[in-house]
Amino acid sequence: MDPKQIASSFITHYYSIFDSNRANLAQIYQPQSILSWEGKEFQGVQKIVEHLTELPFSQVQRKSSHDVQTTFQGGLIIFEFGTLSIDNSPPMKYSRVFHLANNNNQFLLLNDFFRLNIE
Amino acid sequence: MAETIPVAQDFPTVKLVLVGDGGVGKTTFVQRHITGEFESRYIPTLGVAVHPLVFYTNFGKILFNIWDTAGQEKFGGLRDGYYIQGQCAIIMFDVTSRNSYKHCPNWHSDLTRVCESIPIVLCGNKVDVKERKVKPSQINFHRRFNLSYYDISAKSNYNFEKPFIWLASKLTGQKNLELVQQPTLLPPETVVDPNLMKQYSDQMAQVATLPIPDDDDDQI
Repeated sequence: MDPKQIASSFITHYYSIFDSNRANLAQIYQPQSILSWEGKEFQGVQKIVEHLTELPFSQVQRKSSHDVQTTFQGGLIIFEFGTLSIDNSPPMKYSRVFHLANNNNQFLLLNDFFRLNIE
Repeated sequence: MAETIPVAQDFPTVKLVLVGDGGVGKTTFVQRHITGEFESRYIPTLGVAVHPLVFYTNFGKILFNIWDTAGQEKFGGLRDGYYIQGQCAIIMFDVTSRNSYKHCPNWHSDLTRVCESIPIVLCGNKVDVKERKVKPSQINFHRRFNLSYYDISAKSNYNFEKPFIWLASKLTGQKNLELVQQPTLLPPETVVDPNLMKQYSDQMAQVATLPIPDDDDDQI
């Protein structure tokens, strides 16, 4: 499978869940997953999903692009960058990195970093 | 992008840092004032909108550059760049949200860590809403740190100018400072009940005579 295609469908899939019902992201994270969100670290499905669910905004508009590389044993690192605006506020730049491990051609989201790119 | 920053002027210009939980009404509040001579501007590298608001006092004109976030506090904290060189501040909470009041001490410690001892006003917004959760008698956090406090209602313009008068008075050291001209505000979107506002301020005045409780977070 083409890494570019996998990365694109992963990002589309991830944000379609994020934007409809963040609680359903529990399907995507694994017990060993780690999320670094604005410098705070969360590990495991429950803690990660709890944090994402509690974020106090409802609508996100984003424009983003991404780069992808293959890594050890068919895994992927996706680097996403773009702008987002929440609940009609002005836009802010952000970066995100996803690491997907390959488990017999099933991709598992193990590492996830998010940062707003502001000073 | 070219930014137009007001250059040296013959009247004081101060940076006012506006903080408080997401959703308490900070943006609605600053957008009530029709800025007139200076344009608001957005600084994308900081994720900050700066609203220049002019007030005319009996000691002259004063310009507050009010810093308001694009919502970065909803993702986590604010960057230090937001606070740096802040000369005064407003900490805002929503009187219909106990949590937003509970978080005020955190906002206060973030502010004073970077800005040290600057004049700070605490504002409880949305007092037009009938289902008030944070009662006047429960608001005492400001007394521990010598902040001033005002009930406000951004949507009705109630007490809009009060925090600015207090801050201007602190910054200029003029106790008798008052406005000689009311700011131009957007028309009210709702009205407050004057009798209820009187009750609230009477309750605040009454509580102000009592000793400051040690820590009554549990009661909220």
